[in-house]
Amino acid sequence: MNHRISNIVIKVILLTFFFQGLTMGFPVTDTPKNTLVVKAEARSGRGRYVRPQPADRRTARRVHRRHQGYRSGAYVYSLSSDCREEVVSGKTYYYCDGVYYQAYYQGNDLVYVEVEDPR
Amino acid sequence: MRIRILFLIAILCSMLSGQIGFAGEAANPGAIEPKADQALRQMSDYLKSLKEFTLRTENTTDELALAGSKLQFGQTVDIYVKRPDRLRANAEGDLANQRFFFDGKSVTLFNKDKKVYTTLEAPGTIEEALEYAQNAFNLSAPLSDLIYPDAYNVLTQNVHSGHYVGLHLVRGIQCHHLVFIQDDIDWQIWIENSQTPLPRKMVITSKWLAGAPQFTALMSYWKTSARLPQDLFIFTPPVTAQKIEILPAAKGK
Repeated sequence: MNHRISNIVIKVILLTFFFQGLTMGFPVTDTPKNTLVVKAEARSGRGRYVRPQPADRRTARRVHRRHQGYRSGAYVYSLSSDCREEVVSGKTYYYCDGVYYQAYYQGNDLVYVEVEDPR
Repeated sequence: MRIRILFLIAILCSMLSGQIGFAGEAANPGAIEPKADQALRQMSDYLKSLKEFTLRTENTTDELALAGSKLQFGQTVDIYVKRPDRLRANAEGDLANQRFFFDGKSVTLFNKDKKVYTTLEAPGTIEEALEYAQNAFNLSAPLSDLIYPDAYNVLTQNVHSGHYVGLHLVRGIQCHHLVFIQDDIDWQIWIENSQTPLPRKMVITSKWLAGAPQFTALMSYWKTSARLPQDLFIFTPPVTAQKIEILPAAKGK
């Protein structure tokens, strides 16, 4: 009997940690944890929640498609060197592996947002 | 059935511990030790009295990368402030070489390597422009918390408690070492123990994130009565530079 109770207690503790993890923003489930980069907060007083950042550009597209509502939604932090630069109607686009990107600032970071074929 | 009950108990425990541990505590100015409070106020008042000043800050930012490894990236930023409405920062670092301009009318970010820039209209004082840039575009200036004239209020806004750690040296300068506790972060500041109580070092710890990543800043080369030329704050785009848009901040942040 005692054994059963301690078993239940352990389960409750483990599940508590699990839910705590969810509420604190740890990548407990669903998030491919090997691909996320977490950055230290650089503001104090008005400190905001730290955002996870994708480390790998291929997975970045997958991860962020779910969260970003802008244009086609996906963006990456860097482009591979074999991307082709194209200027259409005075605007610069990057063509990589069948996808067009446009450079934007997102906060202080430079990102490349997937866009429709501009031609 | 038993599983469902276990889940329920776990959620309740999680909510309870959350409330007791963090969310239940309201910011209480009385929770800052008088000695820590005094040192922070003196620094804030002194910074507020400076009309034109420059400093250099050497920063590091931890990032948790693949397989749980913690990487540290460095950046040196030269900051030029002319109250009430001019700000310039030159950042050279591992991740980006960037320029920040505020000329009283607009804020510009210029990436030197990629030769791109973005400009947003933000008239007003430094603090009005920075607040707008932060809220609407998630764009921040380096160490802006210290640049605000009401630094004390900005810094202690979300603080639960503050403590005096001791008199410690930063690069040979004797400083009051203070620590402040918030929900998600703790921050430490080292304030020069002299007639010119300047911040000399700052460390911010994101304590609940795995690996507890830190941001550190060492501040030096303070020039507290500088004469800064107007054109220092005006951005003139190089011929090859391309103007790009900035994405609006995600809602609910």
